[in-house]
Amino acid sequence: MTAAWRRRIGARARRWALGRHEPARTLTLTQNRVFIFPTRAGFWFLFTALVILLLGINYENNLVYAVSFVLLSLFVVSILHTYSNLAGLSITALSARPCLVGENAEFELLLRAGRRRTYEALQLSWIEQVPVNCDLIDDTERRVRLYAPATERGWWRPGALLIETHYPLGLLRAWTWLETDFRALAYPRPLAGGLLPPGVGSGERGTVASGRGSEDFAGLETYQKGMSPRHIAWKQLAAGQGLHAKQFVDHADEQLWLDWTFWPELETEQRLSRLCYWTLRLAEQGVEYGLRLPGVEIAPGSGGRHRHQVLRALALHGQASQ
Amino acid sequence: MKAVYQLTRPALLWQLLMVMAVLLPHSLRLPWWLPLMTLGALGWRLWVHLGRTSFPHWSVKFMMAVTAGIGVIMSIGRGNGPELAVALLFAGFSLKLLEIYKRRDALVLIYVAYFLAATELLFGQTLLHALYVGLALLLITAALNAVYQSERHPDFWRPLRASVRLLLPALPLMVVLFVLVPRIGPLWYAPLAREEARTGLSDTLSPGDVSRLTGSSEVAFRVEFDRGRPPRPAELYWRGLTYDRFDGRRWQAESDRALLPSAQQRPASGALLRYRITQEPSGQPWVYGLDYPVAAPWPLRMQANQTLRAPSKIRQRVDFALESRLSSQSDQPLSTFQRQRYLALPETGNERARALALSWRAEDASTEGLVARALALYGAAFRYTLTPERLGADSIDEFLFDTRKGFCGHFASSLTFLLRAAGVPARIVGGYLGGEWNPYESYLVVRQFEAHAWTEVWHEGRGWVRIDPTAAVAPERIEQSAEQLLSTQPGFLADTPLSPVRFGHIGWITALRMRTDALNFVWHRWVLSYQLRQDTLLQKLFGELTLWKLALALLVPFSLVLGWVALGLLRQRRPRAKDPVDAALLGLSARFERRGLGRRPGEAVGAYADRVALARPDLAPLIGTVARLYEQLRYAQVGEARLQRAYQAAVRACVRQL
Repeated sequence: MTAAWRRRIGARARRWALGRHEPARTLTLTQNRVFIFPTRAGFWFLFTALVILLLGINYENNLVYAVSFVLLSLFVVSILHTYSNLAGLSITALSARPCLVGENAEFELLLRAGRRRTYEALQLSWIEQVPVNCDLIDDTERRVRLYAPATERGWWRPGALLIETHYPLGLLRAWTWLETDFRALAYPRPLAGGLLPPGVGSGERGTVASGRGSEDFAGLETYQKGMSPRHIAWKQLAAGQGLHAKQFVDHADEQLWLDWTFWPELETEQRLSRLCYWTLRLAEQGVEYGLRLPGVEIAPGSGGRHRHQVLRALALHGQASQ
Repeated sequence: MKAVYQLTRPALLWQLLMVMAVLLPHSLRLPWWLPLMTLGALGWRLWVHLGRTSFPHWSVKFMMAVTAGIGVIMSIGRGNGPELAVALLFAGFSLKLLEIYKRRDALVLIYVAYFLAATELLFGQTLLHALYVGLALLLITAALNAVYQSERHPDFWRPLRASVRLLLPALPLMVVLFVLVPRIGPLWYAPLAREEARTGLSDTLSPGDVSRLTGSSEVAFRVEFDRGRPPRPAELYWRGLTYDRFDGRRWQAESDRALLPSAQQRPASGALLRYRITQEPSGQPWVYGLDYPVAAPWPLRMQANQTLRAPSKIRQRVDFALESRLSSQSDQPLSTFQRQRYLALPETGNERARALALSWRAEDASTEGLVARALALYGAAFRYTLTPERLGADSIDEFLFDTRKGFCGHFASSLTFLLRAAGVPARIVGGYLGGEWNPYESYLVVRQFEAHAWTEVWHEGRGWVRIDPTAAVAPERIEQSAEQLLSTQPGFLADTPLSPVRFGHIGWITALRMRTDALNFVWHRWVLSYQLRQDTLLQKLFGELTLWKLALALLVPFSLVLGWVALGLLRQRRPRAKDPVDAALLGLSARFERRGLGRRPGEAVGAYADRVALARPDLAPLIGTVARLYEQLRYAQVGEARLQRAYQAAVRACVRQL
């Protein structure tokens, strides 16, 4: 109950705080961005000071009064220290690595000490993610990698970045939310299964002269009498998926096309996921492959860049690509 | 999502240090086994830290907690509230050591440590205590900082530095709060029940008892006089109590009930003297006033014998403002009851003294005559000594007729006996005589070795009159300071051979001693009993005290101190690289910055050089060299010194050309 309330209030405050500033690539933390409030430990600290004050009052002991006042003053001074442990820090979004939906996208940030030389025990996190700790003690700048699981295909934004610190005494928490213009490309979540239809090679360039070969694995097809028993997919049989034969293509005709129309029974997203699966599969095998989507055609090729191009086309299918 | 923090090694070490600092002073007061248990827990925790053993099972901890709790209650007893509370906290605190693993455990320990450090001040409030507790606060704060310091860069000394940086500005703020926050009385009754043998007069006096006190140079009380200088030394008779009943061996002070307040004997003449007395804990309720106090300020009570008494035994330093007149006059007759009391003697014993008294009376029945004869006897044949011989059953007789050597107790008790035997009401007064003037803070210190006993005699029509028989034997005891007289005596300060009072003949030691005592007194006046002076001080500082003046007095120093802290924290400081190679590059980039050619965050040195070269073709070869040398330096293993020189030269050339 209270946790839910706190979360709702937190989300509200976050929206308000974020609404005050435009997202940018480099941000410097100034006082209108940094919030500060006592932590639970801070309230317990004040409670301790109060108990000591009561002790001083009851025993009319001025030195005990003084101890209580030292604690109160310490609290006040630590407000400044906690604030200055964030103030002046500048954060630059450096790069984001693409990932599959459901995996962690990696974002790289650069922290730069501004006015002060040291920042200690900072915690950076995307909302509701495990924080990453970092310091700027001996150096003036530091790269930090943050991870967040991508939930949707396409350009995926991790949401607001939370930077907080409890240093030096844990009595107060200084924090800020930043809307960075960070985005990572999230490829569709791979969906295993399906077969490449036989003879998907394009006849145009004669690269796949025959759908049948014996060298490279290209998929599975339903086993029919007369097929070589050497090609029986035992693994799939053992998994109870029925009798299939492994399909191979010859090296000479390695070029394959992945086509939007292969699996008409699937929904759009599932179709993209299936294509993604096969893209990864084929890329692993070093086969040259191309992609045909409505309005997009990528010529067969291989290598990391090609793979990224294909996956990017899948990721951005149906979205306004920027 | 929440991360679980384990304590780093420095954090753990700081915890242990803090625990030791907090427990050390308490451990001297607690049952002996409690500090041993703490040491055991400390050892166990260290052993766990070293990986030699594991944390105890919860059942073990539970058993230990129950055992410790019962042990504490049994060995201290439930009467002593604060002692018991501190001991229980102490036990729990020690056992908690076996649990510190996570941040939360550490915080519990730290907050309790703050509290325990404060409780130390209930048991002692000297400057030394305050300094020690200050040190403990520093260590505890360092421990707290260590818990929150970066896990990636744990460091042992950094928390201490942080602690100093936090506490230094906190101190002036504390002083402001200390001065301004109004003091209120206790919210509920909380006695500090500590029975402790204190040096000082007791409620019985047997001849020779007082000499026990000459072994001690402890301060009994200090006095400030309203009009600066005190009266003459011979007038500094500090009355504490009267010994009224004699059982043949010892004199006994009357119980409270027997000394109901009476309006009978009011001091009637003499100049009024105002003074403030600051009494050290004595473990007794007597308050020493110059004879004779005029009235009893709250919460003191005036007794029928014109002494002052506190409502309970004095266990902490206390302050009282008193008024006295130096002579007493009363034309009220002594009541029958009182006359009986001050004439009472045992039925038998000390027959020779009784016979002497009766023979004197037969010659001259007047009180003056009797007193004069007695004093003449003392002056003729007696000697003053701190180490008299032991006396037997008829102590008065033996002293008067055999040994004839003694101390103020002997003289006072024998004189009182003689007077009573002759039918003159008399009593012994216990108190102090004299005092040492401290010129640095203008006050009088009265020490234990100045304890004294004398006699008061009832004169019809004049009231009680002080007779000091010691004066007849050793007049210098009255005119000089006790220290001057007694220092020739073998028993003087026997308990404290190194007491600075012993070295009174060495000037600078005396000066040092007086300065130390003055410091102590100032400490007491302005810190320990600040509540008595707060109103006057605030009035003097701010005149009529209004709410907005108070707020201003709070806000102005706060904003000054905090502004200074903020300035120190946020002041623009040029980023400084530790590595000379990086430092040179930073310097270069700073120069280029003004032409919009600073190195961007995260930009590789090579890419940066390319960009500069594009914008300033004239610099292209130089900046190229810088970049090439930088990379070589970064990856080179050999010839570093030569490369360094070349690199620095290139950077300099680059800056020059710019």
